[in-house]
Amino acid sequence: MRIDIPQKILLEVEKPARYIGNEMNMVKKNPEDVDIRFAYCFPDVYEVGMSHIGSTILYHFLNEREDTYCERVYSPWHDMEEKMRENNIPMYALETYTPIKEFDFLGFTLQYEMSYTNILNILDLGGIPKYSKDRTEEDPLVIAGGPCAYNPEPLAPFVDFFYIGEGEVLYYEILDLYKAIRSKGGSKEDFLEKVLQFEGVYVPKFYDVQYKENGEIESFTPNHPDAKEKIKKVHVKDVDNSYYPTNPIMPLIQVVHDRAVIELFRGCIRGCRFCQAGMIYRPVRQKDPKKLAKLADDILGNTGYEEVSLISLSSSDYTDLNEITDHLFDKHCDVNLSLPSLRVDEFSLDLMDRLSKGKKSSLTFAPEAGTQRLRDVINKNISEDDILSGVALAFKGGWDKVKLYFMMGLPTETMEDISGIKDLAYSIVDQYFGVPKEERARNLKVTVSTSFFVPKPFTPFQWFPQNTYDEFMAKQALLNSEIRNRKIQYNCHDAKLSALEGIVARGDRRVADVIYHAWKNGSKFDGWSDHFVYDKWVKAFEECNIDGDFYHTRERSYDEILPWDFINIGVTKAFLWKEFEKAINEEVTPNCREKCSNCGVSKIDKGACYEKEN
Amino acid sequence: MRKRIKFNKHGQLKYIGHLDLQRLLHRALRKAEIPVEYSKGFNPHPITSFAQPLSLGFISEAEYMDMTLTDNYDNQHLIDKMNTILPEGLRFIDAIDLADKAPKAMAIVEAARYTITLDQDIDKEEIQAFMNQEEILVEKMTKKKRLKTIDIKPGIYELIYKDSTTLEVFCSAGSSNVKPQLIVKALYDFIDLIFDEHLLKFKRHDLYLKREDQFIPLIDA
Ligand code: SF4
Repeated sequence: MRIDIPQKILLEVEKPARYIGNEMNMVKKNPEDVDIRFAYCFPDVYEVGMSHIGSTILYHFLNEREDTYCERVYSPWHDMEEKMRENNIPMYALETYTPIKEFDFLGFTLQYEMSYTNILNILDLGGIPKYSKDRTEEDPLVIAGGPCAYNPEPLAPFVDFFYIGEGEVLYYEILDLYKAIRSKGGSKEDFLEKVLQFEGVYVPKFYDVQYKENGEIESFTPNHPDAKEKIKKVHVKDVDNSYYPTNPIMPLIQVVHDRAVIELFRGCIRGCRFCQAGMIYRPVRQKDPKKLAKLADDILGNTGYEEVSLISLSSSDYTDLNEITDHLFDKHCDVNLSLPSLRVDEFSLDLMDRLSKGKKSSLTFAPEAGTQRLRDVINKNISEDDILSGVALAFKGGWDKVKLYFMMGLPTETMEDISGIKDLAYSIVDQYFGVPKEERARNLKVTVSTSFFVPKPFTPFQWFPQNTYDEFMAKQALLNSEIRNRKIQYNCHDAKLSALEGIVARGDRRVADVIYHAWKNGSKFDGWSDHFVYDKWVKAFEECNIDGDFYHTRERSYDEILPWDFINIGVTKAFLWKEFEKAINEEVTPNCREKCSNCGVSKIDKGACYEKEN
Repeated sequence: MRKRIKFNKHGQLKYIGHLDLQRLLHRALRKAEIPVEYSKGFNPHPITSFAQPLSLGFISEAEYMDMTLTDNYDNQHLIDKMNTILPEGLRFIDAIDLADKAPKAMAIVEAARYTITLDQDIDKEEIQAFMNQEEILVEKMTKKKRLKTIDIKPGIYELIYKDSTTLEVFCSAGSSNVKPQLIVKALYDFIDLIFDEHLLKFKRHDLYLKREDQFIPLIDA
């Protein structure tokens, strides 16, 4: 069935091109010719989803298979949803306008917790029961992957199975299995039992959870003979020869990141203690600069993009940065190059100068904490000297805009650390006025942005209580009153949103019902602070009789069974705990290239400290 | 070397606006490696100019884009190459070489022809009566966001009744542009019908310049 959307609807909604597909490089297949129909769902608006590189990779990767047609689904914006509901238009996929109910798989990518209500909304708009147990053979299999899948529990009752790890590894095998079972007339149930054979696959219904009276988990046990005790993440070992699309879709409208994107490496050597990505994507896997250069040539040739971005968790750590940037400057001199997350030093300032072709954009620093003591706690190895010498160089080089990112509510934080944020910003202003007038640009602007720390699973801070709303507000108020310099602008985040994110991030299965009720109460697009309504969630917690503080402001003990403990990311719990203790003692841990700290990942693969060996 | 391209815009592509169309064409030109002249500066982009932006929701048989190439390039080759790249709904149809000093498409366009599919039936007589009016007054928003009453009758060269739901209009375009939506709105007001622009379908047939009292399609310049 092909959905027809009346012109009147499309002309009345904002940005109708969100809903029409048909972009340059969109994959076209005849649905009649394929065995498997896969709807890749990004539970946010089109412009956000289209900017996500992981989605681009998986979309083209799945479409490499002749027997599979992977199509795209994004959350309709409020105006479109209203019209879809009014006119009984079911949620459909962009390539063929087929209702999502007709697909074999709906694959959701979980990029941030606050998109979970959008998942329920997509299912609802597709006429698909939200809870797995209510779905029949007629409904698609609902699967989920991505960074938030590392704590799958808050979505456990809605999802048939989770994929823990990087998509390129196992999806083909899973689809082969599905095809084999379907061709023999097997049911979804048969498939779910057989899929248990794979690493990285978690089928929630084959596990039971028991709780203690105090609310903690008593036990978490498989209830099916083939269900594994521990789910091991899967990851790409050979990043140079793994799939990477050279013909990405070019959106018809401007999206958040509207450019060619190339990944420098996966993982990170740094080991910042708040950073989940740094732990779950270990070990660091660098790509060969020659391969990247070839990729860039191909992608730019196939798309016509006027900009290419080299991404990673920390670009300065790419050991061949010179080589790849030189290639791009030489060969694609008319193309703009962007390199997010660079550290600021002499080398990178020179690079930035070339990148921006003389136009000075703003410099970005993420000290995360205002004092060296607290930066040691979080293992953010950037010192005040690094920052001040960086800005001094930059001011002399003609830059005059500096952006600083901090978190509030970090473990062991005191009000002195908060004042430290102000002090650092003031020192930067002093640096600027220390540069002779003739040498510096004219308009200093320092922007200080603070967000609230959300402890995440699989980080050394996973046991740590999150600050209460009142604590957050007190810190924000203090900083607000202390910053009294007209050169400094202070921006802050929504504390309620961060608190809720904290609850869901470390939630267990019981939180699923809260998400469901929040959705029922009308929550969606919660990650968009102007659409987030805290009260809808407060009501949901009441309706489910669940205490948010249990997940949010409670300190966990080492012995407690955490909801995500059954997942093995390679990094051991013992290592994370050791890092937690070192944090409390303000001890830093060297990065993986300086010294291996035995995080455990070397048991599943070689890490950065082994790079020299190959 | 200057060229004028004629292309069409169909299907779902009617839902993208002028700026998005421009960006899409620029990227397609780059992908096709057409040697277009680029602007200088921080964000170089192909220098192109369009005859007259098409309203969102319209389809068109004839849109026009002028551009300058830095090298010789065969017109048919250019058309074929671009058509392998452009998404469904956009096709290059024709290309001509322009004299160096030829005025831009934007500067010479004087008239446009549209087919309009209505959402309600009308009679031939009603059209006649409508066109027999001394003047056809409509309210138009000025650039300064003020309502102004203007007479669009001199700008409607022809209003042809095709069948009860199909009209063809030949009207002034360019500097004294008369939007076909305005004409239908005036007509609906005249015969007392409820007007909803989004229920109508518009198709642009061609854009014309005027030479010795003759209207000539821009591609025949
Ligand atoms: S095993 Fe060592 S080098 Fe590898 S990720 Fe862990 S700490 Fe880093």
